[in-house]
Amino acid sequence: MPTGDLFQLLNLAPDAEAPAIESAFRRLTRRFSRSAVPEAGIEARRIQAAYDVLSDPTQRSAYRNAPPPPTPPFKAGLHVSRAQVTPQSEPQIVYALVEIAAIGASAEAPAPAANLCLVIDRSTSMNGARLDQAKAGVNAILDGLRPQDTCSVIVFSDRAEAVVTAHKMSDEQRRLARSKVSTIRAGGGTEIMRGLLRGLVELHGQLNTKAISQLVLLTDGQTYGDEAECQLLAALARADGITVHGLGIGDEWNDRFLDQLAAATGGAVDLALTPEQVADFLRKRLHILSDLAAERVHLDVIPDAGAELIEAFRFTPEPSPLAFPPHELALGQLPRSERLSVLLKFRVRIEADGPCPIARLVVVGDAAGPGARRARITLEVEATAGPGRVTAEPPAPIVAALRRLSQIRLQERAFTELQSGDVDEATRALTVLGTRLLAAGQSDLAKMAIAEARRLEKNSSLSEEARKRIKYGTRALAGLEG
Amino acid sequence: MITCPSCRHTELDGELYCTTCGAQLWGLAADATVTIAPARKFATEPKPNTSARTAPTPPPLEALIGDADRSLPVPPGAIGLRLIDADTLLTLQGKDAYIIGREAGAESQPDAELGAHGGRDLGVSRQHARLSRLKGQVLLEDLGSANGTWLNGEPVNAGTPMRLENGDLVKFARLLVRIEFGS
Repeated sequence: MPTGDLFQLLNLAPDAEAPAIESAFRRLTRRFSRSAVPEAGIEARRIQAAYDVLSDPTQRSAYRNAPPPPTPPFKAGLHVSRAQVTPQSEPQIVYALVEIAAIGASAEAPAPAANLCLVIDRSTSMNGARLDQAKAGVNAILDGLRPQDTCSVIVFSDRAEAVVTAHKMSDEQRRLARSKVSTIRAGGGTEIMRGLLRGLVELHGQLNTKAISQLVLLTDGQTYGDEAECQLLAALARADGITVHGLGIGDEWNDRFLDQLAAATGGAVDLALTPEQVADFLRKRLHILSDLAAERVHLDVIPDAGAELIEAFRFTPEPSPLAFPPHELALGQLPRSERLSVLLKFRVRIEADGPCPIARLVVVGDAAGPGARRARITLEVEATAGPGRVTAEPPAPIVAALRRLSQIRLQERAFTELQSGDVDEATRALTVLGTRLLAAGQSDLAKMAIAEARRLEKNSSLSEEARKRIKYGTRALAGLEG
Repeated sequence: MITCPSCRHTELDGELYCTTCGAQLWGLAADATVTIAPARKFATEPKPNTSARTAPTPPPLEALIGDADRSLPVPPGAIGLRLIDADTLLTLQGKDAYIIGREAGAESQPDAELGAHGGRDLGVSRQHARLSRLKGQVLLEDLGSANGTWLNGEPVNAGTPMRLENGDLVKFARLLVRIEFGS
């Protein structure tokens, strides 16, 4: 029998009877058979299974009389940018903001164990301060681990080795790990795939549903020729419920590559210029353990025929672009104390009046704590098409989200214009970004953007460090409320 | 399609902020001018400047970045409208008269479109005021706007043009603008 609320799966009230069940099933089957994404087939099978139970009067009453499925550990809400649209031949844009929040007082549940792997780049360029920063960060996190937590440390250059293999963090193991970390020396090239693979092997030996598996990659470099293999490993990690995070040290690392890698698993990426920033980033990986409502959270997006998902961004808990396809967007963990909020941008073609479904969204996550169970919540993004110009204002949370996203787009635009050689446009975009940041009260980042715009105007080039600081600075702002 | 009032980039319907310059795109096609209660209109008015021709107090923006003005200079011969709250500069050049207001459909686009910068909510009319050049001077007149125009705190009456100088503070309804002439 399928899991979750079968009536909800068919968009029905719990007291629905045969005719309603029949027509809901037909409508949904028609919608999903015309969707362009493969995830629609999976959802269609789920709907078929639910229909098989609910369409049979005996099974239906048995289902109704069975104890209700446990309440999910979270609730999910939806804002859509426009409830009403005007049919036209051109495609249109519709935004949806999904907010997932923990419910229930599970605060007394014991914090789950960490299954953590730190993968450290020890290529020649890490020599000196950078490697010291990484080591200091690792030591700080070793101190924060509890006896039930497992931790391993991998170093890699053009080959990888486990400096500390996966062990529970007893005091003795901690001492041993610290002394082994202190022996790490720099030397060799950078082949991220090797480090990643070795790290996943360590995590794999400790996989269990009661532990939160995370891999943190600390690197200062670019990897050459093994990007595709790395992406493949990220996809495997995600299938195992492992979140991959990336921390870039210095200014030469490949931020786009690291972003893609982390986004595929619901992880986060940041820039570290000081030892404190390394330690802070690592500490965040432990903080979630004592504040966990659900893990392995993902959002399945099944666009209707004529609709297409073109952008996805997570604002909280850690701001990051989200990767798709697959249209099963990995979101990582849901904290108890903070919402998980995701903005989706759809391009839709609406040519006739009437109700127009845009996408089905399914929030899936494993409840934390004892008796861990999977929960699903179904949401429908829809609008009504009718004649006449629509002037209603978009909902405030969508406006607030987009205002923050537009800053990220401005900096992206500045850097893509610069790459394509249009210094004037790049300067303009950075200047506009600066003024908008200023208006938002972010004077430090604003000053940096404006100063860089000036430098760009004069020298027609921009330092990598400035580019990354502005990029990750604006991204961090997107996670702040308001 | 929507055309961004700030940078003229075109976007698909339903886009909320210009993907090129970040300007707000929603609320552009609203019909009626927002009417502001008179009590509020006067309560938020800056104190009339007794020596109207002295330089106005610089807004706090410049305290943060000393040379914000130079970052976006007004081209020579142009008239700049610096929207203090939106921190945006609109430049007007190449004509003898400019209509200031907010977008009212494709056929009557004002020269300075304030709707995209919060003008609608701040009560700016579609045809709010006119700036014109006459014998080397720049004149401001109200076009019978719903919520009025002020120059350095003093009301500008419909049909009675007032002379503008560099640095003057003008309020179109509740939207504050500093006038900057390109040198």
